[in-house]
Amino acid sequence: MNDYFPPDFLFISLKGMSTMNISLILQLLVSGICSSFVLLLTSLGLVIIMGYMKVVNLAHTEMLMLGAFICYYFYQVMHIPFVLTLILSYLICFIFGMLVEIVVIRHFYGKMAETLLATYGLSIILKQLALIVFGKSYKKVDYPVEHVIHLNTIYIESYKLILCVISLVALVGTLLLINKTSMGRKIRATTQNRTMTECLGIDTRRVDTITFSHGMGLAGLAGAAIAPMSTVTYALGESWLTNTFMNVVMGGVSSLFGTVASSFIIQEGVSMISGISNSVTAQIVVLMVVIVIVRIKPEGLFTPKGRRS
Amino acid sequence: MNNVKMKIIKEQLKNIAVIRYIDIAVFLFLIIFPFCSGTYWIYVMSGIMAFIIFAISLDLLWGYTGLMSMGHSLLFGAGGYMIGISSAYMNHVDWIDYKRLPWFLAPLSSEVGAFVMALVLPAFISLFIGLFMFTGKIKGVFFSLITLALAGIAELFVINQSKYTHGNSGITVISRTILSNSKNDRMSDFDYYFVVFGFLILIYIICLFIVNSRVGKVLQAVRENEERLTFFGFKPSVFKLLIYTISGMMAGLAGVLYVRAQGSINSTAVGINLATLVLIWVAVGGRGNLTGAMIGTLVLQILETKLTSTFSSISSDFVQYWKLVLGFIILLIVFLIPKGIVGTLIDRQQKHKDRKRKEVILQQEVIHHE
Repeated sequence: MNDYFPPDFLFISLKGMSTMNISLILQLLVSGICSSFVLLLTSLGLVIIMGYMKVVNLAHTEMLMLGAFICYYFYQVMHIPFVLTLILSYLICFIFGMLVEIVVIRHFYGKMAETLLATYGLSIILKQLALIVFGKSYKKVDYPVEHVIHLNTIYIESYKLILCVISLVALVGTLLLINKTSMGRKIRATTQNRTMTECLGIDTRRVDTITFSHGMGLAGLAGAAIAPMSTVTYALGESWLTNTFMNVVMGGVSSLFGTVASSFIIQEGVSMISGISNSVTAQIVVLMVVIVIVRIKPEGLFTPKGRRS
Repeated sequence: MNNVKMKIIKEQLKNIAVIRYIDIAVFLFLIIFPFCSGTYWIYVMSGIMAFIIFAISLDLLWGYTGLMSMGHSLLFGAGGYMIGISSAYMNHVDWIDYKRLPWFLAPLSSEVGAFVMALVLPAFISLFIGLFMFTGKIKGVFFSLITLALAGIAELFVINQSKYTHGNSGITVISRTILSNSKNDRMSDFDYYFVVFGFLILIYIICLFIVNSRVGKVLQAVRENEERLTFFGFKPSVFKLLIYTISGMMAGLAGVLYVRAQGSINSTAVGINLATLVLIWVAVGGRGNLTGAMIGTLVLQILETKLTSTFSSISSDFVQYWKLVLGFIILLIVFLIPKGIVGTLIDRQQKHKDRKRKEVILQQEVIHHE
């Protein structure tokens, strides 16, 4: 009789529903929250570059891969403390981002198709270089903490909690950078009115460079942070491509809180649906939902009204 | 004065003809090619011609309408997989453990049904995606990103539905014919080459017709300025939907031809890799004229095959170096000739002609004054 049924993706099996109980739902919720923080961390740099510079950085996910390799070599091979590794990977990727901005991105502001192609070319180069330099083998990074927390029937890996903290630190740090420092004021001014900002004597090219490198640096940080929970290969970037870009599309680029909300919606959705079906089905369903949401709110989830640049 | 006008019209005619001359040259090359090369190259070339159809379908969408689809391989693979599933089902391949196809794949149990399905399903998918995206305010880069995500998901989906698609290993299609799925019907590489070539000519003529029709003009207007077009009383969304559906159908056809020509299909045919590869072909060749897509695909694919076969004796992993080179090629193209090879040629021709025209007009004025 199996032959007459459509494949699993068309309906969510009721058999799975009945076996679900409260503790399983709670477990899925908690792991969903953890992974939504991870998604937030991995897409933060992308959102910043896209929101403040109108540049779509397709090389973003390859920066995650680069960060993961930095983490492997510094933390796993050279035994540098984990926190220091994170900071170092941020700095290395920051400098790399500067280079990329000056050499490539600077020439393509305002040209969408050219930027997409150039950053895609960059991502291929990064990926293939990683393949040639580091080889095809899988590399494993040890967890800095291996403790597992029991809360009644719910299990939480403590490293995931640390990831939540890192993600919050990155978010708060970025918000402080943009809203409280003079550099942040320059960044916002450049986004709102480039010509006027230049008239005030601010070097907007330098501001652009720093915004872009900060985004790239955040990608490196995220890559280093997720390295222990994923296998480090040259193909690491690919597995994050869909989710990060979906997140940006749904959250919009006008406010960081849109990104926070959309990463929660996406990851909670994926986590809950994959509890009753499989993860690919979950991703497809969530992507469909994202397209519907984007159809209704094309400017992102939270759009500041009346003061759009 | 009349003389000048005539001359201008003549020059314009010449100007239109310039890229078409290249087209004719390409087609002549493709006709002569199988007579002076081995079976392997004929086999490779029929795959490349299927890719050319695919690239043309993207050019219609990206070059003419300005919709940069980064997930066009979704439609290519959808077409190809329909033939693949149908072939596997009808030949009772050993990995199949189902007896009947589900109702929504039922047409695949007949040969004509599979072919129709392979065209209709991609069109339907693109219609569905387009309905959501174009009637809303989703524009520009968001369209690209959503299609990119769709291609990524599609690859996972194909691997996941291994009951019908045989997962990562893909489906082998033994029969090389236009419609038939029987094992015994197998055209030679040489014959099938001309089948694909015929389809290529057909698609090319259809595209030329679309592009030069009134609809084509509206599509180019969508690319240039959508808001202004709305003020003229056109609905851009309808035209975008139309061209996306047509383009999807063509991509599906390309998938069908590719599967038959290459004899197999696997999950890479729906994934991000192929989707971005076709973007590169069109970008290298030049978008917004059908020639660019053809030239880009031909040059890059022939180069890849040639280089891979030459260097395979030196390094077994030449493919990775080729991809690295491809990355640099994209960067160079975007930096040096952002309009692509053919686009730059047209530009140069145009500049030359403008200068000549100016000289002619100046001369006329001098004569007039005297």
